[in-house]
Amino acid sequence: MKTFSNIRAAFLLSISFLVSAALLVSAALLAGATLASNVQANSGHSAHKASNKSLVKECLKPAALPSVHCGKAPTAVFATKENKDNEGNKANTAKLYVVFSQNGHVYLTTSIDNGKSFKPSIAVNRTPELIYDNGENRPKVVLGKSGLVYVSWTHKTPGRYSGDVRFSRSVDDGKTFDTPITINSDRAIISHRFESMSLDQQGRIFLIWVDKRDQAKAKNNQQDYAGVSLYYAVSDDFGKSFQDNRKLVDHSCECCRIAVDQDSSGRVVALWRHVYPGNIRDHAIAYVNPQSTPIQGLPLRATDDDWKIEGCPHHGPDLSIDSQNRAHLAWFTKGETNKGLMYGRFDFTENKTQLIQSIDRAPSASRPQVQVMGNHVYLMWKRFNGEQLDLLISHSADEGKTWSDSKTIATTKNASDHPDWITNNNKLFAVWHTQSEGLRLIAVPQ
Amino acid sequence: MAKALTAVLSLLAVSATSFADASIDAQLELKPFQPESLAQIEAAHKGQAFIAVIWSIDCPPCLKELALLQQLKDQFPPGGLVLIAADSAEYTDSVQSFLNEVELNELDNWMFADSAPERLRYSIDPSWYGELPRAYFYDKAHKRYAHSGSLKKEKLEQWLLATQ
Repeated sequence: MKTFSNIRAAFLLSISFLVSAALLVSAALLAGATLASNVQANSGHSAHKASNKSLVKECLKPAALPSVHCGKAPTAVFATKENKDNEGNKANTAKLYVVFSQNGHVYLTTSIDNGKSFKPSIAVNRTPELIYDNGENRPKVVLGKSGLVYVSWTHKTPGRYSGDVRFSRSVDDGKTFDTPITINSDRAIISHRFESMSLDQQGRIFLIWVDKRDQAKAKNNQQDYAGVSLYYAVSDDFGKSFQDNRKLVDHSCECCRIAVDQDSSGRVVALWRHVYPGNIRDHAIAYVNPQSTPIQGLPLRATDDDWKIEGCPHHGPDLSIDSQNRAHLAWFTKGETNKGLMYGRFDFTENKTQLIQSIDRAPSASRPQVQVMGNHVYLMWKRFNGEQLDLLISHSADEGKTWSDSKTIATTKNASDHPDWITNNNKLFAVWHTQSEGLRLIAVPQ
Repeated sequence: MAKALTAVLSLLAVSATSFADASIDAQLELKPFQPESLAQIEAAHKGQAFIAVIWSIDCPPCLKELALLQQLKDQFPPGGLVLIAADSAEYTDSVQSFLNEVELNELDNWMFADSAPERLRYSIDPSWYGELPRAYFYDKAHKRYAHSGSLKKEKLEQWLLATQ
């Protein structure tokens, strides 16, 4: 019986080998399109492996259409007064835009009922490609004025930890998208990943990402180089083109997302996990100007936990700037000074973080998000309670000085994405994508 | 015609077998790590000292650590080293090929198999923040201590000496 099954397995293996070889050839002829979708479709061979595939009913059908519930790593944003279109004017409900990854495409979909129902999805990249679609490295969407929709993501290039930053825009409110462009000018098969996107007051688009080119160069010259660097590129023609890549800073951490926000005058601020001397992986903060030169010396330190770790925690910070240009921060650390999820408020006039306090010390707490709404500040994070995952919030009515007890606003039993905040005028929503429930918008009582 | 076809088919089958033999040899057993798995591992090692190393394909220091374990693996008693990959199912191929690459495919290899990795981390150690690499050193009585970050060669050699 064993022999038989071996032979049978052998035959099947060889057939699948021949078939995949044939597919590889045809894929190469089709300029990589088929190859990309083949690789994307791979989700492990053994049936016993727990899959991250959606358990939402509509996603179980083999022919399920692209959907925010079935896809991965969605990012959502509401249209504001500046960028709302006609549909969004109705019934005081802002139009919701969501991008997500599915089958090698980034899709855009919209909703005018706060995510209860969605319009059919539009493929941003018409040719499929491998896309990073995990909590930390996910597609992004930002809205410009009058129907401009900007989408970015990281394309997975061959090899471990490698990628290219991609961008595409729509000038017709997401009906059609320009052919995607690669933003990093360095095209080596190395890491150009974890891009973040923000607009400034003038509508210029900033893309900031983690880039390994300087580390690769140092390695070639047999020099040590701690971490990697951050690069950025700016578009001042509404996404038609981007200016040259610029370096923001040397020695950032390798695989944590970068938090970005605008200050009250619309200038872009970035917060990232840095590699300070001695492999201390605390956070740095900086204004990002369209034409700045690389930061010399050590960047401004926003968190000072003395977390020494050889490796990257895959756990980037979050940032929200108030009307007085104070940056409210949420982060994870396991340093000497603090452990677990932390909150603090960075003041640019003193270059110092104040009001530092623990959000949650539980080892199973993760992914803190912070959002300012006037004098109010909200924190959100997730925590495993021994049986399931809770999504928790805490609220400060005094600009971050004191905080309410935590409150669970949602739970899930299976895989869960990072949570995120989105706002619609003065309404606050938690966005959480979970394997069992799909994408949820949870109105937060204020 | 039928004869010719049979000949072609048997030729195919022969070549198929040789292809497959290579593949099967290179295959390793990657056991699904579930909430009850650590208890099973402990039961299987009753009265024996061992080290459980948790790693991930997405963690460069972990890959360095596995390369170090490759150097030292022959000094471990049978079953003395257990590897647990904290990766989700979509990384199965990468995990397998890396274990083959560093010739650790014959060890006791496990891979996270629960849609909520938080549940598995909790089952291993509720006081663990999830940082990798992470190692648990068990003595014969299964008193254990945890180590976060890369293991040093000297530390492992010391442990090997002390447990023999």
